[in-house]
Amino acid sequence: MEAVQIDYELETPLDQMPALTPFETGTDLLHLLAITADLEQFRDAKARKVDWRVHSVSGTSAALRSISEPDVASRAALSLVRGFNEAEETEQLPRGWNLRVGQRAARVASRLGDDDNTGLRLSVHGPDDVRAHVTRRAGRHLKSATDLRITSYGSVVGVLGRVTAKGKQRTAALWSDLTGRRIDVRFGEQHVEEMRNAWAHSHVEVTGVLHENVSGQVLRVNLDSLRVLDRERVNLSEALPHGFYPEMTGGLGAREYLRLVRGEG
Amino acid sequence: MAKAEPKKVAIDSGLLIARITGDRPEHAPGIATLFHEADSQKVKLFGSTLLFPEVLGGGYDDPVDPAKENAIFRVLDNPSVITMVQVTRQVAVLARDLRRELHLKTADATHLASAVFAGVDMFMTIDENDFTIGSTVRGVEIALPGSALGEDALPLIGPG
Repeated sequence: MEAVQIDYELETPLDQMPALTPFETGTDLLHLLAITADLEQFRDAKARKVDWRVHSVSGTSAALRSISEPDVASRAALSLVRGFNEAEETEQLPRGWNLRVGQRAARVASRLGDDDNTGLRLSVHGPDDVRAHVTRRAGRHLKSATDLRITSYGSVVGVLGRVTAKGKQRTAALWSDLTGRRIDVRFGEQHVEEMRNAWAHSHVEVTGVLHENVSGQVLRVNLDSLRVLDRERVNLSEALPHGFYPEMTGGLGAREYLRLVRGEG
Repeated sequence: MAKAEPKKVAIDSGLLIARITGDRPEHAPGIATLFHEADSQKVKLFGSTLLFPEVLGGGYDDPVDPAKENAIFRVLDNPSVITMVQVTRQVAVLARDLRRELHLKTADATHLASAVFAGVDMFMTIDENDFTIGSTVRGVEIALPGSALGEDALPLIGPG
């Protein structure tokens, strides 16, 4: 697989944004790429690190080119650029990103201009050609998306990604069955072994304090308990054949039974 | 050719109860078609966690058959069969809106809100009195089971 290249160009006039240079933007992008590369390897026990090199700099534009692990580099770059595209459109955290990427990307985008002529142009060249035009709007959206202002108690069902337990940092990634999005799970020392054992299973239910943004995305769970769910594929037609338990309702029709169960009878 | 994404279909309690008990036989072929589509992974099923207390909440059989109840519970509790939509704060707020807007009962509004929240294509019910079949609510089509699930849908089949 060939090296992956990301071109970026700052459209924001430098006199309006004196703190922003292609070099600083490149540094920010490298940080973001390091995180998205890690996130893209969520099921691997140990993540491979991608090295990037600044390939060319001219005026307000530059390019970053991967010099190792091209497959991971490609996924990381596509995640980053597609994520910025999503962030321009909605106040939701982009698919595949975690809070850390969202917060850092918010800082990058917040320093850009606010209209179509003063943003940051990003493009990935490789097997997939993807472009993004990032403005301060993405910064506002990401700031809102990473503000976990709503808490509730509940559970999320999904598939666990990498489980990390280093000192006080005990986290895992959970891919929600419902939304297909990544959720950070934080857990206590007493759950370390349980989490590691659960990793091999296809579906788990994580119960605890749910932290969500104003768009209703649950992005973090502080775990209280964990349950491994049945992963056996069941044939529904055979498991629940037509009329296999007519006595369940005590002779009532479906409508009457429901009315009674709901306390409407 | 890339495999087509499965259609997302949410179901409510009445549909499942009719399947289990054999009530409302006019809908049996449609429900059978839906289940076959789910088994062949052309359809991905969703349902509110309300299905647990509503479908299994009666206990009116005397005595209750634990093996049959367990079979139903295992289906509802298996994410490879049905993705449960929890009644979270956002679902509850949406249910409030839908209850007012469509004059639904709280439970019906909660089932529909769960379907909307999950972003399904269709919400299938046999409750023609409380829901307007054929209408679309927040992008979700309300339909009777067996309604066309797309070009690849199987023809209606018997109740088996």
